Amino acid sequence: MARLSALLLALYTAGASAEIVRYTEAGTGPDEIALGYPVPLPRASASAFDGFRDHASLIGQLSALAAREAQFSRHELGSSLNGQSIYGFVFGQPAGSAPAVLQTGAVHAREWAAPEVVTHIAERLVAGLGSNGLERYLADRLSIMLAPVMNPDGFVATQQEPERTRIGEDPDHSSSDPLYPRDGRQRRKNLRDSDGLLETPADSLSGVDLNRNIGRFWSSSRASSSDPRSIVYHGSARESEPETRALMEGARLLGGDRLRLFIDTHSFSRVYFYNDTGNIRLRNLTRSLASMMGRVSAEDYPPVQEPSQSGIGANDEYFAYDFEVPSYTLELEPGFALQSAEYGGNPDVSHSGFILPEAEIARVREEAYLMALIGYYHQAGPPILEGVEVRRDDQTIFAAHWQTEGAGRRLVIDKPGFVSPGVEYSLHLRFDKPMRWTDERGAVGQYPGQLITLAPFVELAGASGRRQELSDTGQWLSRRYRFDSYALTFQADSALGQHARLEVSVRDLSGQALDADPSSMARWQNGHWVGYESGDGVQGDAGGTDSQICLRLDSSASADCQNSAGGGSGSPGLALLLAMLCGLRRRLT
Amino acid sequence: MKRLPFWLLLAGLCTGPALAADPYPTEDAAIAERLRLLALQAAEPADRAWVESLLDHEESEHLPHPERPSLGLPRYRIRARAHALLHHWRLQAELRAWKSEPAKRHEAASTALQRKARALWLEQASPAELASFRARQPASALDEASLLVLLRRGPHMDDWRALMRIGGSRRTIDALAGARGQLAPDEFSALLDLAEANPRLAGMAVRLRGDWARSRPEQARRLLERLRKQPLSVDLIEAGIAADLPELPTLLVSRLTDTEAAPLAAWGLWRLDESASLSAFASAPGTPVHLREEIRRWLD
Repeated sequence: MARLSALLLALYTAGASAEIVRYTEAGTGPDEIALGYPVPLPRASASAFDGFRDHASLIGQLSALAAREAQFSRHELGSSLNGQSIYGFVFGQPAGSAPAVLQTGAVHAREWAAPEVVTHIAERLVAGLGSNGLERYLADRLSIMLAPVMNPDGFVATQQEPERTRIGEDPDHSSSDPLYPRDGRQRRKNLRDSDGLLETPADSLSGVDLNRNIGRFWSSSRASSSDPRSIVYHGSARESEPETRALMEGARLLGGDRLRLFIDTHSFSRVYFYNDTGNIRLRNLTRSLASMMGRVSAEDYPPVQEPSQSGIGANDEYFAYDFEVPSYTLELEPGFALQSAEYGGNPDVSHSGFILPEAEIARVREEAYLMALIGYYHQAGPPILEGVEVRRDDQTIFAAHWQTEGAGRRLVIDKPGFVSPGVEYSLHLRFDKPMRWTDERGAVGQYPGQLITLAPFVELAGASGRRQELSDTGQWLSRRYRFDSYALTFQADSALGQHARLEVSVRDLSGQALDADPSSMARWQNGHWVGYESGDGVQGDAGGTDSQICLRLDSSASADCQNSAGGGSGSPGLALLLAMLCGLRRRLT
Repeated sequence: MKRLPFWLLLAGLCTGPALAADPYPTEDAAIAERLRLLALQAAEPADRAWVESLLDHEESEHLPHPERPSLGLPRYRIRARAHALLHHWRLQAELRAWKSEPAKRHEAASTALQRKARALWLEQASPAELASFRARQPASALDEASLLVLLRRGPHMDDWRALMRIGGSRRTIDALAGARGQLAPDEFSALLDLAEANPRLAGMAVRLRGDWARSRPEQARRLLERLRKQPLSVDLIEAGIAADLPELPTLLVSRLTDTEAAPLAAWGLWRLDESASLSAFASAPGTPVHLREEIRRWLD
């Protein structure tokens, strides 16, 4: 602490001229800044270690995975100012053919945790392809584009100077924070009008902030600047930078109208920044999704909403306003109050939060992966009860499933048998996605940070008006995906009448309730779900209880009880009509 | 920048950047100064309680957050200073215990703080204390930081082997690379084998072997044999490149016919800029469709 003060004194007595300083673990020299932990240095290694890989290794690793795996491909989104390729790697369905997710990293050069995290997400997704877990499900449903390094020139420049930076020359901040760092290890911007070399002072402040160069709020805020020396210089024109255009190309490749989620990975502060575009449903979904992802971490990542209808020219604004998807600037740890003191670092080091200790990155990578995974899973769509089977002594008595037809689904009765009251059957419910997480012992458990009721709530609603709650002693089973099915035993109550509707309430891993009417496929449009119905048949973003399946409880009961009770055909049903009438009555009174 | 008055320069000496630049010291500035003074003296219980109360302190002034105006950075970093001070005191207390209670040196260090204290003590321990510690604590029970300190104080093969097994950071590989001249070639090679078997060190270790093989023909031959027969990886191919193996392009072409190895071999040829071989492979009828498309993208 005293050494830093001496450095400050030197700065003041010398008229605060700019100076190159060196980060050390516990430095003793006059131009040294002691971090309090080993200075992170990048290393060449495609496989991950407790530290930071160099740029070539990160891209080499993902390129090699793309060569190996059919469901992982590499796309050149553009080139940087210096001609370095900017890559997006697509996991799952081919780009442009399925609902899509885009997650980026290293928009800001010095934020080394971000490219490690985005690369790790890709590595973990690919590693999970051979399993029947969430990764397999996501590969079947989504195109997930991961672009680990959006600012390769700046990133490489920081990796070439991992221990040095310049202080005392920021035009806006050096007066209040004399150790405010620029260039070298602490470069943020791209290399517009800069050679990226620390020794050449004339251009050390140059570059465009690639998170101020896009969208409708470009150059509209004091949080961006028209001064090319500023740390938040927005560039000479909107989308002037090739790196920004590469980001837009990523969105174009995925098919803008297919996009469902955008995450721009940064550091530090441990928050999810998001925007309020004025679309209330989008805002609510964006906030709740951020809360859910943020809870995964042992230290919460809270959502922080930006002022409504304004912005700074940031990438997340572009995706929120132009594509109407949940869109975030994810600021990884450490938190903004402690910065590197969280890890025993020196609290006097300005902007130490950008220099994550090597010892922490493995944990951060995995935590960020689990946050991303649940976010992707949520945006893949709400769950449906895809099929139902009633069995007795290994014989199927009744079976039905939803079959995709064009843009919708049709209920197919595979076996129209009836259920005799008083006889024991097993009921098998099959959902269209993995519904439960595997804990450390391989058993059914909660996804990290989430809290949902693990067993579905299942009832029979009889034609007589009587209801019967079925045994909750069932268990989760794995068919297509891990824990995508639930089986229980039951005996139907004879007082239910000639038939009974099967009512199933359950939430998926991310807390989404069932799409109660699977005949209309849920899709993302205008910043919210369409075709996602509650139990009353009302479209919204919450879902509800599925009661589409009707079981005959008597051999003489009508064989078409599926339709007679209002479900299965995709019609809104009596419940919806009643709800509409009730709504009308409320409005009139 | 204008010159500052002498009293303010003194303040800068005392409290660091934030206060030095503040011509109107505030209550928060005074707290920051008191925290600085406390770091220089032994803590009384009352001091400790006061510092702990600052862990939730909300500052009234903020510096601009580098990303968003809606979130400022605390100007005096009071919470960070309090946190760091408490950490410092705990570490010093732990270190004192290591120094004064010999029995403690035989206990397992289960927390990060204990491990840090142990590494600090190992730096300062006398040769006799070190010998006694080594006699009671097997190398396999130590963490990476402690083993690195022990090796700095005196190389032992047991420590090296334990480090290669449990290490995970570049500091371990840097230490091994630095000791190349002191270790016998067969010892160095055996340690590299151990590091390559450790998933966290494997990538860096095989590249170090490639670098080493440049000046050692028998190691180059061994690397070539692995490239010919073993499953390929980016790091193994990079090791071949680092070793300057002239046979590498031919060898990679030969592995294009091996279904398992073909994707990585293709990647290696792209890395070597062997476009002709890649083009031929991409158009060969047996090439998997996705790989053919991937290679076409590389070549574009």
